[in-house]
Amino acid sequence: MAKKSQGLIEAIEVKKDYQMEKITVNALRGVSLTINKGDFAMIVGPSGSGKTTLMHILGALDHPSSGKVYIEGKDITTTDDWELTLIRRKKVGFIFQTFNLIPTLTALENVMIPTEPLKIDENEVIKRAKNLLKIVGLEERMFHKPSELSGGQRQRVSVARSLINDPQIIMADEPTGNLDSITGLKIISLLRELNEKEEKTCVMVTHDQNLLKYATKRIYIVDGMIARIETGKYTETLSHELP
Amino acid sequence: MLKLSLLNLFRRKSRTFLSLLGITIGVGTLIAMVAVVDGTYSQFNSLIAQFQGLSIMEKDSANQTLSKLDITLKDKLENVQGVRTVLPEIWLMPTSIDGKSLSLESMTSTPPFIYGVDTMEYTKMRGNGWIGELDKGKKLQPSDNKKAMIGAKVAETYDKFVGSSIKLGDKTFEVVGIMKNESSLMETIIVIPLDDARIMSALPVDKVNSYYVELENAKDDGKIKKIIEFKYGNELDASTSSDYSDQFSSVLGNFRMVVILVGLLAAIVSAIGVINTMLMNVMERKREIGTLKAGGWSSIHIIKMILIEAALIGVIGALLGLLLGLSLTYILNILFGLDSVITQELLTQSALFAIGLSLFAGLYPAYRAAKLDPVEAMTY
Ligand SMILES: Nc1ncnc2c1ncn2[C@@H]1O[C@H](COP(=O)(O)OP(=O)(O)OP(=O)(O)O)[C@@H](O)[C@H]1O
Ligand SMILES: [Mg+2]
Repeated sequence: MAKKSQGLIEAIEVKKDYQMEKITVNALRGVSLTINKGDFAMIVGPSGSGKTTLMHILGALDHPSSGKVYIEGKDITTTDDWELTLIRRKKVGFIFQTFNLIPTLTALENVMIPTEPLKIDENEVIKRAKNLLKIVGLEERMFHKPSELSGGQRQRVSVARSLINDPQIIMADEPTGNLDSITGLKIISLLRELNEKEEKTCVMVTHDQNLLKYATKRIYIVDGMIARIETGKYTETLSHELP
Repeated sequence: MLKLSLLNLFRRKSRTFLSLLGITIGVGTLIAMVAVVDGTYSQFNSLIAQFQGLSIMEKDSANQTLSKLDITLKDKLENVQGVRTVLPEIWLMPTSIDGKSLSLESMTSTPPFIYGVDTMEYTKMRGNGWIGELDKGKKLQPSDNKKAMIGAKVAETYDKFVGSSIKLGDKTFEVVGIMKNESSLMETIIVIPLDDARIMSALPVDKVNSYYVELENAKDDGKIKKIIEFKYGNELDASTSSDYSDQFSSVLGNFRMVVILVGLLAAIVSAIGVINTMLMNVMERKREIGTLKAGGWSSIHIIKMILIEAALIGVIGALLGLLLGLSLTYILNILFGLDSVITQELLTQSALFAIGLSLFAGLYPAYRAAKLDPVEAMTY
C-alpha cells in the first residue's frame, strides 16, 4: 500500500473513530481519495456523514485514527503537532462557516493575524494583506471591524486571511452556510477565481446540491464512506449565472 | 502581539477591571502599610542617632515617666570613669496647653510632652541628648526659670515664636528657643528647667525620673553601661542607643512581617482573580484560538499571547497600585501627621511582585489555551 503518491493530497484507507462514553462513533470508515493540484473539489453528503472530519484530516488539522495521508508526498499521519503546525502555516489556508474573525481587530488586522507571531517584516505583510483585500473586493473596507461588515464581507475577509501565508491549498468548511444564496455564490465565484487565476487547490465541504456544478471534482460521502467520486472538467462559465 | 493582547483584555471590561482592582488594592495597601512602618522606623533611627550616651532608668520600669531615681545617684554616676555629664530628667504630660486640654491631639499623633532638665548640666553638655538642635532663639541657661524651649510642631500648632508665652497647666512659661524639625517623635517636646517640672510632676525634691549620661567617648557606651550596671545594677537599668534600636527594630520588624504577610494574602486572593479572569477569557475564545492554530500559530504562540495578557493585567494593576499606594500614604501623612517613607525599593519590588504574580497566574490559563484541540474548539 505504501505507493508513492502522485496527487497533492492523498488519503489511503483513512479511518477516524471518536470514543464516546459508551459507544465508539466511526466518523470515517476507510476513505481513500486523491486531490490533484488545481482541483476544485467539493465534499458533499448528509449531516453527520463525516465531511468536516475528513476535511480537517486532509488539511493537517487532525490526525486520523488509522490510514495514511500524504501532502505533497509527505506522510502527515506520523508527524507531531509541531510539524502539523508548520504544514498548516505553509501549505493550507482554512475558511470556516462561522468566519471566526476577531471582533476587536479591523479587516486588515484580521487578514494579517496568522503572521502575527512570525518574524516577517510587518510592512511586507501589510502590503500583502492589502493586496488580498483588493482581490476579495474589500479594499475600501479594510479599516472596518467585523461588526461593521455584512456576512458576505466577513467571509471575504476570512478568505483573504486564509491566503496570507500564500498556501497552495484552501480548505473551506461550508463557507456559504451562513450566507444567503446570492452572497454564497459570490464567495464560490471568488474561490473559483483563486482556483483558476492563482492556481490554488480548493477543497470545500458543502450541503448545497446547487453548488456542485462549480466543482471539478465531487466527492460524495455517506456514513463515513465514499459513495462515489465524480471528476469532470468544469465547462460552463460562471460569470453569466451570477446576478 | 502586544496590541492584540491589550485589545483582548478590554473586550471584557468589567471582568478585567475586577481583577485589576484586586491587584491595585493589594499593591496600594501594601505600599502604604510598609511606608508607614518604614517611616516610623526611620524617624526612630534619626532620633537614636542624636542620642549618643546612656539612658538610666529605675530597674524594671517600663518607661521614663514610671521610673523614679534618687538625686544622689547623679554624683555616683559622675564618678564613673568615662562619664562626661549626667543630666537629671523629669518627664510628664502637660494637663493642658494655653488652657486647652490635649485629648484630641493625643489620639492622632505624638502628643506634646514636658521634658524637665537640670539647666546647669544641660549647658555643660557637648551634644544635645534627646533634645535635638536649636533652630531659633537660645538655649536654656542655668539661672532660667519659667522658660521653655519647644519643638517645631508645638510652635506650629500653638502659633508660638521666640518671646511668646505658653501656658502649661496653670503655669506660664516664656518661649526662649524653638527646636529644629528633625524627628517627628521629638517635635512635640517642651523643654523646661528641672525644678519647674518637679512642681508639676509632684515628685519629691530628692527624686528625678531618669538620667541622661553623656560620655567622653560615645563608642565606649557598651563598656560603661556594664560598669554602671555592675555597680548599681540592683537599682537601675542603663540603655545604650543600640539597645533602644534593637528593641524597637525587633518590634517593628515583627510588625513589618505581619504587614507583608497580610499583603501576600491579598496578593494570593487577587492572583486567584486573575486566574479566573484569564480562564474565562480563554474558554470564551476557544473558537478564536482554534482558528489561530488552524492558521499556523503554534502552541508557544498561543501561550505567549495569554501570558502577555496576564502580564498586562499585572503591569496596569501595579501602576494603579503605585498611584493608590502613593495617595494613600499621602493622605495618611496628612490625617495622622505621620512621616511615612516610600522607598524606590518598595515601589519597584511591589510592582515587580504584582507583575510576576500575574504572569504566574496566567500560566495555567495559557497552558489550557495551548492544549485546546483546534478541531474540538471549532465544534463549539
Ligand atoms: N469531537 C467529536 N467528538 C465525538 N464525535 C464527533 C466529534 N466530531 C464529530 N463527531 C461525530 O462524527 C460524525 C461526523 O461528524 P462531522 O462533523 O464530520 O459531520 P459533517 O458531515 O461535517 O456534518 P455537518 O454537515 O452536520 O457539519 C458525527 O456523527 C459526529 O457526531
Ligand atoms: Mg460539518
